[in-house]
Amino acid sequence: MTDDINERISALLDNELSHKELQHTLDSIELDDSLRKQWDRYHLIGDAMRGEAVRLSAESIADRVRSRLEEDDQSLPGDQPIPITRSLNYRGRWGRTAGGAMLAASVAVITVMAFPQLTGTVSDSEQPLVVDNSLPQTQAPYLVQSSTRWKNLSEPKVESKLNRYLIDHNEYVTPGGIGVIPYTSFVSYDSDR
Amino acid sequence: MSASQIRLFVLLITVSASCFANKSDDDVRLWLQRMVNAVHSLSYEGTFVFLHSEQLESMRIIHTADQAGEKERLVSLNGVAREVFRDNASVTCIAPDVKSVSIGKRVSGEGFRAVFSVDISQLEDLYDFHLLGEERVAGRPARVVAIMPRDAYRYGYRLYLDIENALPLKTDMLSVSGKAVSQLMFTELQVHSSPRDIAEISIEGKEHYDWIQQKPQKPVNMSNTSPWSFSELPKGFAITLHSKRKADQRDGNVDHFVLSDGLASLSVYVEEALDAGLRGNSAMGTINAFGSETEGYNVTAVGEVPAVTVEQVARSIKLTK
Repeated sequence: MTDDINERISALLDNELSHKELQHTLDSIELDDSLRKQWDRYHLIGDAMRGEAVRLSAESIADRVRSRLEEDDQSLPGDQPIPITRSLNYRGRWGRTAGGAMLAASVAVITVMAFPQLTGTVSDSEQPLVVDNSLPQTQAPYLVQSSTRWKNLSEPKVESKLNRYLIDHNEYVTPGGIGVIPYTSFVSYDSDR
Repeated sequence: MSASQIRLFVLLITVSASCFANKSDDDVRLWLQRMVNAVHSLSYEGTFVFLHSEQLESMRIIHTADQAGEKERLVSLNGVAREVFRDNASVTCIAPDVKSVSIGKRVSGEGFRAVFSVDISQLEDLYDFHLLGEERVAGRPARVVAIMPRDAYRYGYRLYLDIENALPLKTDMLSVSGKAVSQLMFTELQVHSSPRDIAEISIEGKEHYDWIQQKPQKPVNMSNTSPWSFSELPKGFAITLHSKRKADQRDGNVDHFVLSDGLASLSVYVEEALDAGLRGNSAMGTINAFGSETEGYNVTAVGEVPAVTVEQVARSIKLTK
């Protein structure tokens, strides 16, 4: 059972679940605190692997998804009012529609991907949902600097994709030959963060 | 001096110059091949500093090689003690900041002992090879070898090789104008006469970490047939690998091309433009990237080559079928 749910969480991240599996998995995650934490960790590891900024926040990603969904429920015109309590009705909300569930998954991914963007340079309509509580809002500009390692990039999803390409590229090029020792980008400490 | 004497004199000069050139080439070839062998076959550990984009970092590398193959640990000495452990089968990335260990299988299954040989004769049109003088790095005498690019499409290298064992004590990556793009220098290096056991991980409180097995990548196929082709590649660059595999987190495939000039290499990724892709150029440290949209596909070139190279390669891809 444990392996099975682990595989399903992994498949959820890869967007490989069927409609039915998706709802079931989201339900399982919601009901089990340890599973929700694990889901968060998968995201964080993915970020770490790609060399992206990883920040642990008191509020878990699943919680952010939940609050985001609740905000959406409030703001959607014409939507049926649904009690915004976090207890009993929440499970129903997850499974209400496949669209809602997919939104939950995509919001979570976007939330994590958006972590490198901490300087408030958001322009995408999806990005304002990111609230990073770990940084004070009133930092002097010279302390913030650019929090992305890729130059000329302001879109977290594109940066994330570039990181995946780079790690993949490292696996194919001649390592240990001439040039920089591979994987320095993963190990590297980025003083900008 | 008679005409025949002059001819003989010219001939002698030509022959001796040619002998000298060949000897110099041989020396450079010998040093570079020694270096490649040393990097893979010796057991060593040391601390190096890495300077790129005005950022200075310090890392420790521990490498061992025996009959079973190579193992290597790379640990950051600055900030978060991130770590990578590699052997012939897998790459383990340890991120203490998230208390996680991630294990990935090597893509090729051939480990990181890639066959790498320096064929100077194949590279002479693209690079100039020079054997320079001696220097001192990390307290050890070093022979300096320079590989200078003949155009702006590739970087050059100035290598300070340990005279005793040919390990690169310092590696400067250079632009065509000779400016250092990055510098990697050992401050301390020990070479062991016999393989030593490497503790695979150095984390404390292992039981508190989560261990996660990454899913191995699934190539859809590895073929030479592709609807894409490259026109007007920078001189010397050719496709050395093409694969097609499933795209991340959504339907569709990604075409992956590796291009190399024999020394420098870059990758080109082609995916259907279903979501945002890189437009224009970007850079991280010594890596350059360029992205554009072609025929409804996102084309992204990325690699440790100059910006002009990723741009030209990305722009040269065409849909031919």
